[in-house]
Formats: sequence, structure tokens, C-alpha cells
Amino acid sequence: MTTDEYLAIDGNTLIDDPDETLLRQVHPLQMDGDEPTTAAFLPSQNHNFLLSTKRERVGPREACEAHQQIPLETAGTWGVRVSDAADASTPAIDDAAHTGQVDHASLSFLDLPTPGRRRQSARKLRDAARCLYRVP
Amino acid sequence: MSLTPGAVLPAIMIVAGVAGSLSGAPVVIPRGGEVAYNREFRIAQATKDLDILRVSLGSAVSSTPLGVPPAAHETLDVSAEGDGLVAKVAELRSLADGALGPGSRRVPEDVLAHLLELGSLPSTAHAVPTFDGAVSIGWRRGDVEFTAEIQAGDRLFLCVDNTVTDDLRETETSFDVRILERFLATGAWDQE
Repeated sequence: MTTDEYLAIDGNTLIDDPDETLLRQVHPLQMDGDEPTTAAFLPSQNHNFLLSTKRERVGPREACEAHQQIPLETAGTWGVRVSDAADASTPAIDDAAHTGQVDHASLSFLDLPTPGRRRQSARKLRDAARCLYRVP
Repeated sequence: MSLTPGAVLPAIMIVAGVAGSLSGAPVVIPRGGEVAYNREFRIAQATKDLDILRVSLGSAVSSTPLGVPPAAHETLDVSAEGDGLVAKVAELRSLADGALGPGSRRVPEDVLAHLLELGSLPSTAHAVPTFDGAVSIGWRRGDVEFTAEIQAGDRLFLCVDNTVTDDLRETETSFDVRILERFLATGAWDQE
């Protein structure tokens, strides 16, 4: 599947506000000290090469707490701007309706041809990401 | 690191600690803190160059090749030492399917065993789980990032990423600890 094919699924839309910050939870075991590793921004084939995030309107703390209530572990919320995602060749897609998760958005790695290219894009996302909320 | 009495010590941990000289079923540490010995193990060299585990027979630490396995009723005192790789493996082993998020996979035992084959990691490297159950070893030298990913099914992925130019080299191969060790030491996988 390509990004265009994913976008063709009913309800999926490209997020076109470059200044929106999408919210990503990072598992503590994917941290290197105080910083997230590339692995935290690298989706698996099992997840269709789509990296899960939440929309900015959710709020960093609220996104983190919702993640904990699933329950899943998190070290905190890191923010990635839509423009940074585009620069990393991972366009942001609102797929809340398709996934059945309110305020869900995915960064698409679908067009990246090799594991190395996917890892490189994940590295760019990691470098662009800012910590917005850290679990106390 | 100390081993908790009653804990089950998987055989692979010992295999890595003694460079493959032990193999067989898991060792069970009973309440007394001693290790019940399984005669299936073959101790060829017990304590030489142990980075992870120190294995002793009774109270005397053996530093000579034993050659033959002790009798089944004998016990081994086992303590773990080293650089934290055993602790890292225990941490990774604690992850269940889904722990990193929906659809994520636990790190399978063959991946953990291959990680332990290294004996230790460079102090500048980190080892973290990936969503598909691999272990990603990463480090940086200057502007270049290096990744070695130990994957299920005895696969190894290696990647060199220049963060300034975006030049990228990558390869996938069957797992071979010598290739991984060379990559960790030199950042290259080709024979020099």
C-alpha cells in the first residue's frame, strides 16, 4: 500500500496545517537516558508502517494520561510538527475514522522503499521531536 | 546483579557467558540460592573470560576446563557480573506482546540469545526493543548514526546513516556474531 492508497480509504485525510504539532507517546524502554531513540518513531510492518500519534488538540498531558489508562507505559509526550513530518517524508494523515480512535493521526512511512530509509525518516522525526510532557 | 533464589535462569544466559560451552535446558535456582545442576550441560570452560556469569562448582571457583559434566546431584553457585547486558536482557524479556503499543511483539528468545552472544555492549551504544520484536543497537560517531538490529529468525540488519548528507548504507544478512562485533568495532560490515 502507498500513502495515496491509504488516503483513498474513506475518511482518511491529509493534515495540511504545517504548524500543528502531533503528539507521540514514547515507551520508557525506547529511551536512551532522557532522550527518545529512533526506534520510538519507527513503525513496524505489523502496524502497516503507520506511526500512531494524537492530534494537538488533545493536549500533551491528556494524551499521556489517556495512554496510561489503556494501560500502556509511557515516558511522556513528544511533539512532532506536521511540517517536520513532511520533511521526513512521512506525511501526516487524519485516520481517526478509519482506526476508530478519536483524534488519531498517523505518520505514513508507506512510501519509503527500504528499512534503512524508514529508519532514516524515524531519525529525522526523533531529532525534530520536542518533549512536551514528561511522566513525573 | 544477583540472581534471586527461585528464579529460572534460561540456558541461553549461561551459553553466552561461557562462550557457548554450556547448552541444554534451563537452570533452576532453588530457594537455597544454589543452582540445581542439569546433567545435560557440558562445562568445557567454566570461569575463563566470563563477562556475564561466573560459574563455580561448590565453593571452589573452577578456572580449569572440566571436560566432563559433574554428577547430576552436584550443585553450582552462580552469580552474575558484567556490564548490565544480562539486566538489559531481563528487562527486554519482561515485555509482553502489546507492551509497546497495540500490535507490538515481544522480543523472542532467539533475539535475546544473540544479544547475549556479544557479552557486552560499547558504553556509547544503547539497546532498545522495536515494535516488531527486534532489538536495535544504536550509537553515534560524529555526524553518523549506526544501527544494528537483531531480528527474529536469525536475521541481522545493519545501517549507517549520515545525518548531514543523508547518505545511507544498509544491509540485511543472516545473524553472525562476528559480523555484528566487527560492525560495533568499526562501523563496517565488509571485510577490510
